[in-house]
Amino acid sequence: MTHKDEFIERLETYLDDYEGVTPLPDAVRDAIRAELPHTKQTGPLTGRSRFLSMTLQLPAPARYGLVAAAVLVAVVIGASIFSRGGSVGGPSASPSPSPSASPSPTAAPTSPGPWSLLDSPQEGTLPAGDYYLDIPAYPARIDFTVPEGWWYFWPTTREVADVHAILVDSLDTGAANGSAWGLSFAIVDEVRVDPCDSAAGIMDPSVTQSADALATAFGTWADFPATVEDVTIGGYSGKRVEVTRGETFCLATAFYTPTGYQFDLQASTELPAPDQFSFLDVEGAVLVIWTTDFPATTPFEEDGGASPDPEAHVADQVELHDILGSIVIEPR
Amino acid sequence: MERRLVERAMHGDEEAFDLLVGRIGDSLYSVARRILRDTTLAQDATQQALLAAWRNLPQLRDPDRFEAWAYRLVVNACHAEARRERRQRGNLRLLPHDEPMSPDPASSIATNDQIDRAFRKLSVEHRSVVVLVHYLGLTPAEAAETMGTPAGTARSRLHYALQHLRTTIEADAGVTHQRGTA
Repeated sequence: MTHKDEFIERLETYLDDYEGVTPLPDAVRDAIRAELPHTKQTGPLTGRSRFLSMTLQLPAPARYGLVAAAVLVAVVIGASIFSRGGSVGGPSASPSPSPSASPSPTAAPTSPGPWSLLDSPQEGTLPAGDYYLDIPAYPARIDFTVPEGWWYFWPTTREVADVHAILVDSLDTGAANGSAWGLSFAIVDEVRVDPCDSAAGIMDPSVTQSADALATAFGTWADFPATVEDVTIGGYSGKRVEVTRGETFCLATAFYTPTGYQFDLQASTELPAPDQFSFLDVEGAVLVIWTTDFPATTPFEEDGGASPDPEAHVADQVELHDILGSIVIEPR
Repeated sequence: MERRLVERAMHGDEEAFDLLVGRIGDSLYSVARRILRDTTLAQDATQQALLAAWRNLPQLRDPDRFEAWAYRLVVNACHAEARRERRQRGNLRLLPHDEPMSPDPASSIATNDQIDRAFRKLSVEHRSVVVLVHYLGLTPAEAAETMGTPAGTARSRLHYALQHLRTTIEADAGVTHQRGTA
């Protein structure tokens, strides 16, 4: 038996034994019974409304309202979603995590556009062209141009998503899981005090109010050396923070979006895999553009079977810069 | 899970739903406790998940999928509870950090205490995939479906969660060993 087997076996024993067998308390069952007569069942859905409902994974307790429902949607999405650039069998073959009844148009753009990125399924290969995001989650409309060979994803239903990733396809590196290399738009809601320790809590909400404050906040993580510089993208200025890993491995989460999406940092210390965050002050809010502007294979690509290559993404860096250079942020 | 019971509950039969709660409630609660590691939060999450199940049952397309659907609801409810807890407590520490305890001299592998300390440091999202795969016995693909994520996301989360657990436990064991031999 290997050490790994012993570890997994021990972990499973630990999980089995955790606090022993404890039935659902009667008080909870009684509370549920008491609520049923006052809780109206929703009617069966069809078509698009069914898709949306199922994608939303059904609303949370009514007392938390629609916002909480949105939270439920996004919070379940994996932090490694950005690792998905190009998946086994090709992105277009990857089923959405939601029910298959996607109502979205799937036809590839055949003209310059611009096309709404959201006029697509939740993930897949992104045909070359001009795209835009014009949704309430972001403080302004974002236009950008994508070359061939890129892949896109947003982690939850289109109406509430506040993270949208544009990742280079990983097929050329041989990584089965994806690339984790590219860029993403996002909004910061909560910043972790310690990326390595979820129990350390979140920073004061004031750190999310400006690009300067966010840059300062990201610079406080002891285990993640950061550099800060001025940046201007799409006509808006702000701060660009590059975060690198310290010497100790940890599963690092940087922040959560308003819908609860957990945004992780690159997860390896063995490779030059920094995360860059451009915080832009846009119309009273802060728009985040995350990038992986480094040439080497990502830790996730190596996990997916790609051979380490310090220059794997050199050409991709040129395209990434082109995408960033194409970004136009337009106030509504 | 009896399809007939689910169908009755889908049509508003409260007694049938109560029977379903009796059959699946303990399991949902067990999952919630392991993910949240807090009895009160786990009770809240389970209650909210079951009420959400009742409310939305008519939208369930396949009654045979009730159990998997219920797990999905409870995982979502766990994440919502954890998020609410984060917001309420702000930058306060959510969980106590225990000091390393003496290692088990009879074993070179992790003790429950070491696993427990490492497990606490995982985010709720990462705990979820570990619980779904290594407690419920789901495959990563099934866990992905339960969490509502792509399969690659679940695999990645699981990979890094286990790596984190191993690394944290090894570091913990090193500290413990040093203390024990000092």
